[in-house]
Amino acid sequence: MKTSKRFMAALLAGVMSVGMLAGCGSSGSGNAAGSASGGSSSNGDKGEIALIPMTLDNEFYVSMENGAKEKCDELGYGLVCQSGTSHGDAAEQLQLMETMIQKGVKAIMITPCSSTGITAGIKKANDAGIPVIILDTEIDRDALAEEGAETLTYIGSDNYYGGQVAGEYAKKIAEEKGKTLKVAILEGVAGQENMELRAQGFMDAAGDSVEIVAEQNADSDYNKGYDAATNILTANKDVDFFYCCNDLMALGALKAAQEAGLADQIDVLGFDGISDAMNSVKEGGLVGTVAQKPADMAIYGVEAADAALNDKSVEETINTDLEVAEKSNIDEWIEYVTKYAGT
Amino acid sequence: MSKRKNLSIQDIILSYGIYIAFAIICVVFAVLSPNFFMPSNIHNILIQTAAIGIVAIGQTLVILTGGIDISVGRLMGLCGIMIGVAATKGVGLIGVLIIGVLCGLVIGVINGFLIGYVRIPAFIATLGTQGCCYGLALIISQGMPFSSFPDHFGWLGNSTVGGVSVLVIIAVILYIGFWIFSTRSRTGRYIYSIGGNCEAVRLSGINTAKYEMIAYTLCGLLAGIGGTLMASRLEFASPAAGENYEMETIAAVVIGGTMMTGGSGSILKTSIGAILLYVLKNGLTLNNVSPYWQKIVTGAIIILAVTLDTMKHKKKV
Repeated sequence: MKTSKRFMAALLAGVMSVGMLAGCGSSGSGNAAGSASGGSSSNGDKGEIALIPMTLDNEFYVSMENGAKEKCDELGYGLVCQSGTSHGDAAEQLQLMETMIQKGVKAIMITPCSSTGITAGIKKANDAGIPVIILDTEIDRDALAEEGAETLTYIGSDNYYGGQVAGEYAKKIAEEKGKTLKVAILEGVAGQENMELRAQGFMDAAGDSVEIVAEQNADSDYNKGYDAATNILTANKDVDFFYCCNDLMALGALKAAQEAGLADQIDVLGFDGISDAMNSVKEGGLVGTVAQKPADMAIYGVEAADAALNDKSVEETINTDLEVAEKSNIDEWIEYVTKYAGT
Repeated sequence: MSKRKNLSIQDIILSYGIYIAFAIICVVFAVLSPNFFMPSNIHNILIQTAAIGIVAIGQTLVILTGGIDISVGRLMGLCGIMIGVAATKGVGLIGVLIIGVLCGLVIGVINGFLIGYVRIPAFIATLGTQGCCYGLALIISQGMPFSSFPDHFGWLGNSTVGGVSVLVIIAVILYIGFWIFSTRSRTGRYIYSIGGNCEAVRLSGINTAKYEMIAYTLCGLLAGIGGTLMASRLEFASPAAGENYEMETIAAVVIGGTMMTGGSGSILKTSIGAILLYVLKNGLTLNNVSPYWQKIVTGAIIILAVTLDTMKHKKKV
């Protein structure tokens, strides 16, 4: 009796998991990431376009997906969106590209895990005659050319320019305060090109108006940003300005400044423009965030794919907008973010 | 009589449940997606499985002894970085391949020494070396990825011989070789028996530390091979690579039916576990299942596999 009970339990577990598999397989629904697709939907009659963001656990990429979905619906494509689990996993991105090629998608939009890491995948797509559109993180074109691979276009905000925008902003504050700002910089994963350009642009534009007292990698993570900022503030109580190369780190740094009782003295500037950061700006937390338009990147991406599939020419580089979202313009930005982040 | 027949059906389900589930999953994928059973897709899946599958051989050996090696993921990343650095210093093709594999071997020896002789629990020892591997990869690379390698470095990971990927051929050879080693050689039998009852084996006069050391050394060596092949396939090495890959190898081992307590299991079955993991990734992606849901499906399969095994063993006892 006991064994047969266990046997039934095993059978049930088996049936359930297989059922679940079949369930999600056929409908492809369940949430933002799945609802965008579904090969059988009437929208997809021109074929499918693949979107491979770096991950899907970050609002930036979810906005990208929703932007892509909106444009795909409008133009009559189906959207397939899949992502890896961790930032910087080149093997996972290659697997996804191979599977998308196998699936026969019409075009692949991808946010590469690094500027040199997905050459093998791009080459395979080239061989299959599938155009590859690079979003957000620029590819090293020399390395690509060396391998004989090519991409259709790069769409993103110029990260160096974004850094400059942030640097100009710091300069303005320095002039208002009439002194050299003591600045701490929090950067993302070491070696990630976007992040380095953001920091470089900042330093070049801010120039003599700032003195960099600390520079740390906090891997674009809230907790690591919080820890790094706490450590920096322990050593340097006179920091005037935190420049954080992404918003999560900025929010972590803000928390550290508040806990150190230094929030009034320190301005924290983020980068990306996620909704938490926008709300924080509105409430007087962050001084601002260099806001990008991730949904626009994907929207232009789908347009570029459509143009290429209809034998129209596409520009090699398409820049999307970028500016500091601060108290004066925050309401417009919140409207944009709410539309695509869908939260 | 009828009772006996009844039991044997149960036995079949308990013993082969995961294969039945595998078959059902494949049929479901094939029905839902015409691309799934295409030879090019099957080949794709095998290529994608190869590197992790090779590392899972070593993980099986270690788990058979009743241990675990959670350093292999980061070790794969470290091997790639060593190759990248060597390449920038002008080391040639054969040289970088040796360096990559040797790097795995060295860490394997360290793991084996710590666990076999210093008697540190395997989880803790390899947790420590995992951190060291990641840190070392970051220090050596200064956080930067590598993408220039000697000529033909990508051949291993990207070429085919007679229409079959070199990666897959290497994986098959290693699987067969290590299967024979684990079942036919004396060392292999000791590895099994240490996991079955370490104390009894030691009391019978066998140097258990030595055989544990061998298991972890082979595991490191195989991680070195896996890491080298991964770098070759991508023609790219990043210090961030390999995060959580150890979990995939452990999943492959337990789905294949090797007991976490050691002593029982098979290297060949691990290959089924590894392939099943990548069949899931591939089939779910082909069917547009959201990556959020993919995690749940994979998790459920692992639980199903282990449930079946646990019940099978309880029944035996």
